[in-house]
Amino acid sequence: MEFDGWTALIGTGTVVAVFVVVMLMVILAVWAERRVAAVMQTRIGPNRAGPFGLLQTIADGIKLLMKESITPRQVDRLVYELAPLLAVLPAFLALAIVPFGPGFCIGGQGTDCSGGYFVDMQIANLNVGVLWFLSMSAIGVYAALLAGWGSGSKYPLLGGVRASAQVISYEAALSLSVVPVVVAAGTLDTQGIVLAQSQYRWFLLPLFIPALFFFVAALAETNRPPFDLVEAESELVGGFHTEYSGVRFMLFFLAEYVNVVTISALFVTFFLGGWTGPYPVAGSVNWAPLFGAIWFLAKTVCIIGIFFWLRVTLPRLRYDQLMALCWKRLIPINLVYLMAVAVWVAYQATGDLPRLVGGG
Amino acid sequence: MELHDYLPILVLLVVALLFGTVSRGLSALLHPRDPTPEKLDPYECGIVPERDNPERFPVQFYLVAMIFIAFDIEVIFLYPWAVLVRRLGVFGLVEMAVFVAIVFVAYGYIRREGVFDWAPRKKLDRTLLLQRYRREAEAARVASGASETEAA
Amino acid sequence: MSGEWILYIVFGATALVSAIGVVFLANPIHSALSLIGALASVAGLFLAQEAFFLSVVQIIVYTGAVVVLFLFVIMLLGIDSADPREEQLLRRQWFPWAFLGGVIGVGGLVLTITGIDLPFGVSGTDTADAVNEAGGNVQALSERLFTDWLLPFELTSILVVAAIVGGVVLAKRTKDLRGSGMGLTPDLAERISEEVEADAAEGELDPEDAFEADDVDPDPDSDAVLVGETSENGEG
Repeated sequence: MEFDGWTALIGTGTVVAVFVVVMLMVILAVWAERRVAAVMQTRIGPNRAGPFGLLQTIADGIKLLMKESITPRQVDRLVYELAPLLAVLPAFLALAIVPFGPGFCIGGQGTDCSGGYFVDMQIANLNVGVLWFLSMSAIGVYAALLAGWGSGSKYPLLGGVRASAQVISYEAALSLSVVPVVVAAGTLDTQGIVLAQSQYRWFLLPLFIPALFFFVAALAETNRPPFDLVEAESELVGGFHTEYSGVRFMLFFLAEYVNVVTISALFVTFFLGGWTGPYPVAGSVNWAPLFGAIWFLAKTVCIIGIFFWLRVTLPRLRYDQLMALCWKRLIPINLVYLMAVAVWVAYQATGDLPRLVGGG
Repeated sequence: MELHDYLPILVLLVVALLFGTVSRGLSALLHPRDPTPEKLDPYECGIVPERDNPERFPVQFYLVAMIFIAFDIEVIFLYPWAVLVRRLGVFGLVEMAVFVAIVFVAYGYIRREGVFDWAPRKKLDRTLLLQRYRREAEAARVASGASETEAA
Repeated sequence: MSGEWILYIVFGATALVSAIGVVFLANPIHSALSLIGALASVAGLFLAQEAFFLSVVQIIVYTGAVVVLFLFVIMLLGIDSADPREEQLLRRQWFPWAFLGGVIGVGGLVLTITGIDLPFGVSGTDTADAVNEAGGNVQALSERLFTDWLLPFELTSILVVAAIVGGVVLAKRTKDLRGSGMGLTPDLAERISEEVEADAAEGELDPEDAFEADDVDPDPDSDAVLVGETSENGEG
């Protein structure tokens, strides 16, 4: 495939489409979380702005934009301003490798799409896809740490240092729990990982423990309850963003939800077969990409729902319990499980793991 | 895979940057500005700040970051290996098993040293020691009592 | 101008500017921020060379982990805690070594630019074709690493172990680790028990009291209840 203006246009179009869809999902997710929490606590929840309160998030966003954005006296201007941006950028950039559907061909011939343009349904189809996601979540550490330090105030600093130690610890657990997926799929390319799970050979079953650990680590990475020690109100006021108000606070808030969407999408990609679904089988129908996107969205929404459910249900962990869980349980068990998976895969070097375990 | 595959990521970076800066700029235009000394004070936890910010943090944070780097490097080696597990076969398994085993030795050491125990040890230690102290005192009393009866 | 050149110029410039920032910024946290920029730019330079794997690894390990450690160390030591005189002394002590390092660095740069081959080390033999044949960057690297470079790979694990153990041993040498979460080592236990016994001997601290004093809620109401109970028990 040659690189020309059309390729650039398709690429830009994909980026804009993904950006819009994810922003919509974030807006709905914030609303849905409040409604779900309300239902579970037998309250009503936001129901005034628009039908069912659907526009509540937008109203809140506009409110935050127009609110006074106070810059406290004792802040370090540079770091204080930079931190919200550093929260938003990696959150969005991590989205680049999420495959939303099977790629399709416009105007080309044959399987290699000669003479036409291949659209990936993914911002960038990198062959180091998994590592790209890990590198972006690695950069995500700085937002909380710098926000905490830049605020020049006690509780944000404590929250920030706590946050970064938590996030790096769970990042080790997170990256370890993806390795079995790579072993089973034999590729780092996210689209390839999805294809390896076609025909319902989802990795969730054979790799249940890594999937569970990935989810736990994902909760901690995104600072979601029950791992939201970073902003534990009862002990740290508001955590690293105590001194942030107005639009700067909005950016932190938004980054958290973008991260939730991204990591749910990646859970679906790694363990729930990505965009594959019961209908249609890849490539058999012209609008397979559309169906792929629908399956993908449906699965992702389910995972996001679990995030909300857990938030309402579980009490917050204590810091020593959090660290012990990560370093004493998740990491060693993951390593042992990984070696077991590798032995199995290498033993069955001809076939692949999910077919043998899933009995397909 | 070629360099231009990364171009959409550049576009995404620009979009995300624009989103951040534009919303920031928009708010700068829209939001009222009425700074008063009270507003500019640090909020902290809602009461008057009594002490300065902590200047130093426990060594534990440093240790976790250090150990994280070590595990990060290990994971980085695991990824290319994971891609080629099928082709490397038993040979690959053995070499990675050796690698992981050696790192596990270090893991066992730091775990025994209590690096992963974040609980406030001071109190815990004191409690444990007091229990031992009482036990020993009791044992000593019993022993001395026994010798007294013997003497009698 | 090809994309590679544009990337090279942009990232080269940002790497240089932020590296200068690391050296000249007064605030160590700002220096560390600048270092993040420099290391990320180096990742960009790797990208320009189509070393995709190396590029993401650079971000994961250096930008994402090493600088976090630096930031923790800066916060651990305290930003303003450095004594200016001590700093001056340090600067004078280390200047020759820094100078030597600089000379070696510049020398290496000159050698690379002029293209003189060194008698040691390996020159690259893998062409882009070889990489493509292996099925990509990661596969090619993996194949070389786990066959030809097996021993260095295994030695890396020993390096990792040395780093972990070294860090813990150094941390243990700091004066008192109680309360910082370090475990109860035998000598530490010995010291605490000596303290406790000394306190008990002086009558300052009755072991029974000490055990409870920490845990009892200093709530007058609960005290009253306790007193009432004991008196009732006394009567009964």
